Amino acid sequence: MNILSKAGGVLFRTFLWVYFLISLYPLTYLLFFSLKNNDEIFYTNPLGFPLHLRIENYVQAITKHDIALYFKNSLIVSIVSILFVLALSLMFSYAAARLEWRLKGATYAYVLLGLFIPTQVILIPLAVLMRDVGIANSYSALIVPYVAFNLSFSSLIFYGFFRTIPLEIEESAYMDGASIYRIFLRIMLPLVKPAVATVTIFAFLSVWNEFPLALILITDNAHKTLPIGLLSFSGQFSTEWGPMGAAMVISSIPMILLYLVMGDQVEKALTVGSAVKG
Amino acid sequence: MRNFKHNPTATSLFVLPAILTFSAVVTYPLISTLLKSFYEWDGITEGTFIGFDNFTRLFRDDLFYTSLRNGIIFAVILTVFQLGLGTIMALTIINSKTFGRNALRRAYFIPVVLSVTVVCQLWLSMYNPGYGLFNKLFEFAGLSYRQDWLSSMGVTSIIAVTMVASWQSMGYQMALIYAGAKSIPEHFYEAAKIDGATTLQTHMKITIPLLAETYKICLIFCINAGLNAFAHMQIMTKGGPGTSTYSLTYMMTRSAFRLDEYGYGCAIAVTLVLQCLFVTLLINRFIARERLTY
Amino acid sequence: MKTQLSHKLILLRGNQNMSKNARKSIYAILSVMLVILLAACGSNNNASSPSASSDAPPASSASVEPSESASPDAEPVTYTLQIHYSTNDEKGPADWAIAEMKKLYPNVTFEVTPQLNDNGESLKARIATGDLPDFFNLSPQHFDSAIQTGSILDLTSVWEQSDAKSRMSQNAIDTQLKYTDGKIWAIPGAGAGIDPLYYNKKVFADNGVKVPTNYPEFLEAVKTFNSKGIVTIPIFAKEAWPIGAFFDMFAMRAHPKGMLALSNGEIKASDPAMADAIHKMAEIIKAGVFQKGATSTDYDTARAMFHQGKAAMLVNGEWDIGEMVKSFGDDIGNIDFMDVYPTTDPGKEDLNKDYRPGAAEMGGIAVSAKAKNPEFAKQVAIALAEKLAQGNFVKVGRIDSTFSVDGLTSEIEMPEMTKKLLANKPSYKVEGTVEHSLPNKKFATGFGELLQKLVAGESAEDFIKEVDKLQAETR
Repeated sequence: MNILSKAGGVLFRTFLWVYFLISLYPLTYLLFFSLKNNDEIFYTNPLGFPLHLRIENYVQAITKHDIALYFKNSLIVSIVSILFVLALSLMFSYAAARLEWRLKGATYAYVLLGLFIPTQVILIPLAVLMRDVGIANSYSALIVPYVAFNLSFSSLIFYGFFRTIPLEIEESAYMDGASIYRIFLRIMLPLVKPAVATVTIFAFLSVWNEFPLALILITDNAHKTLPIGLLSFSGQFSTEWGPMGAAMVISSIPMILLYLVMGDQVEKALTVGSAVKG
Repeated sequence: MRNFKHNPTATSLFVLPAILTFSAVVTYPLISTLLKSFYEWDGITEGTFIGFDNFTRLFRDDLFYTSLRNGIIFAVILTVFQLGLGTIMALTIINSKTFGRNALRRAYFIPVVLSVTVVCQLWLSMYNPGYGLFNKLFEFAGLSYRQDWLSSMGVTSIIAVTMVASWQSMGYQMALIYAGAKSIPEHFYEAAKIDGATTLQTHMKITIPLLAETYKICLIFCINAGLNAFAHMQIMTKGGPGTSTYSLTYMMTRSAFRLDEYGYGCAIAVTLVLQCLFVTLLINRFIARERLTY
Repeated sequence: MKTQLSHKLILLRGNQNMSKNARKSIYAILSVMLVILLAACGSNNNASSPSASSDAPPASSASVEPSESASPDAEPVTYTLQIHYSTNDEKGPADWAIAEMKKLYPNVTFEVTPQLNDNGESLKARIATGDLPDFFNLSPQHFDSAIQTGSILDLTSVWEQSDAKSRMSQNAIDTQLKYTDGKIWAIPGAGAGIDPLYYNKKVFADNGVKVPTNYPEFLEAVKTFNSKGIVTIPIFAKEAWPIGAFFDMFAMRAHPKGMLALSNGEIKASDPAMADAIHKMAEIIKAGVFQKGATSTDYDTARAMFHQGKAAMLVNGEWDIGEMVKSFGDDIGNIDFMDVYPTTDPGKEDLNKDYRPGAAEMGGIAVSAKAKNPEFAKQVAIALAEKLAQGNFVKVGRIDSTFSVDGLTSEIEMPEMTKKLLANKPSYKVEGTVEHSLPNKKFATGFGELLQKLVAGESAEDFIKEVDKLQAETR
């Protein structure tokens, strides 16, 4: 290797690690400002280490702003939504990818429409619908829309994965006498595990931090989720950013944990998958 | 084989739950929105039917064209930044010779996981003309160039906002590309190595073309996210200064919630959906048309 | 072929057996967690106070005639209350008011939820779906929709019979109570408040700058401050209203109603007096009166600059005085507000000098049509509005209460500024209103955006042209 490409290599590696620091910085920024007060955050010391460690921000967030309740609500809504999303979209994508039926292509395209419909577009009609059906202000009011909106993305991912699995596997299983249900449950599902991990992470992301629907569809305090809970730190004019930061740190933890745990899953399963395919 | 693939019971069982949920939540309100776009409606009381008037008014509205322009800028920057950087990062991480790649992979994804509020707050601090990071860097380097990042009336503001979004979700695209690249079988790479190709050549000629399906998905995401952009401009600039960082979605919420012109807002929504639909169909048609099997 | 495939399958399955078991256990654990959580939440829901309004049978129409139980005061009742309840200076007055209410109505319990700072979006949605808190803050922008959908109760007759009526200031009764239809739908707590131009005497003295009394002196001050790297006025121009207040400081010299006159079509931006005011504003903005990046600066950031003693002046409402006392402590004597806004040519300082930017806004505590015991609820609402207004005085030293505060003492030591305000109030005339309350909503929204453009450096001529156009379009 000549000197130029060596230098290029070093430059590139430096870039990688600088970007690494840049990517991690917001987390530290968040941690810092959860320990500061308004003045420090905005004026005296926005980007640096906190001058005093104001743990009371955390205490205030939990005791005075119902953060524990919102956390629990977010957790319930997210977990249930994801379970349903996985179940429904796995079944749907398998049918779309493997079975033959009329309108297959059209239906698949129909579901994909959900990918680019911003939630604001259907907000008020949806709210009225939820009220008319009688599930307003309950967990279902959020779970059902979240499931529906995430179906598009999950189906897309699963569909792609299903299509890359060789047909022979199903064919030989069929010839061995398995029913379609067995094939689905015992063969196909295990094969798309990496996709399941990916979809879980992305779906969790979209549900956990979701804001517009949660704002409009849930009005009673007992069912509010974290993003709306965070709003309660904003007063008519000013905002208590320190405690809000504390709440945000608390709210980021599950996401980060999930990624750290599931991210490994993805890595492991993928290695197995590609070795076999050759 | 025919019996296996044609199984109406199984098909219904598998397909109906998803379709019913989806239709109830998405299609029904969407149709409601579509219908209301032909009305003059304040969102609460009965509206009056006015045919296509909302639409003709929309196409004459300067704000519509500003929003459209902003949406396109947003979409283009997102695509270029995220697909470009995403590919580079993903492929670097896949390379087992890269030092510390697990740490790198996890770190690059962290911004995606954070809430939009935090990221926007951070960037607001960095963009601050007085003590923000960027202008301080210029100061450090002895340059007298300063930029009022978020307060210019031209396209600088929207570009500044877009960079925040690009930076934040880059990890998302990177993960998708990584997953796609990981499922390319090893033997392709082995063959290339035997033929004496360098890493760069391998990637250019093999990996990237084989990622076409993944890129299609990523492209659809980036463009739709760009056209639909809302949260970042709402938090950082509230569409300002003036109206220079408006997006179509923001314009829609403004009509619906601030001006009580819900019918007009619905018309904007319909235009937005059609736009995204059109673009997605285009992408679908021209990229990765053959099914990839290996 | 077949055996190869089966082998592959076995390999696949074999390798994945362990992870499959792991996955199974994860799902099992998750399901158990789920069940436990749901059980816990179920019991929580029953334990926490049941919301009265969602269970109550809906009132048949907006104007409910009493046919309720004979003595509603006796049975315990819980009402949901949505008010500003997020920051400490909001919770203090609210908690005080609720405690006072307990003395008056021992059987009433309030379940407080913080009002969300979301530009009224969620409230609008709640009006549309008919699911409102029993008592809540109704803002001017929502009056029409709330009335038309029959979601709130008419408070007129209960008010006329109450004794709280005698304790409300005449000005408030005349301008803030009755809506355009002649009825009372909400009880206002905050009366006519002005937006003073605060200034820090020490910052002026330290930099050798004369406190301006007219426009040329103001311009001079700005230039001097800039040369010393001090921000003259940190403004949170991300929101339109502070710019509106600044605008009115200039515009009210041309017409007593300022922006309101533009909104009503009583004056045009291109009329000479108004155009002159606009030119002055544009000039001083270009000279750098505001900080850089003003249009993306929010309330807390801008205010912090002044409260830290780093900026010379501040445009804000009266409510900030309490916070200033806390920030400046003993140095509060350095802070004062301008007797006269320095926005005229020399010699013309007295022109319309008593007209101040600010507002006497409509809106206040309203009662949902679905509240239990409607007639009783109306009485409670009136008492509550009074207590909340008084709480603001007691806890944070606000002096703009619509209700009298005789006999109450404030916990905030009244700074000189407040005494001056109290003394001068009778002579102040507030005929305009704040930007977001301009009755012509279409004009207000567009005008707010134009104001931001002005702050971002637009020329006066362009601004005038655009305002004229907007005015014509939204008449």
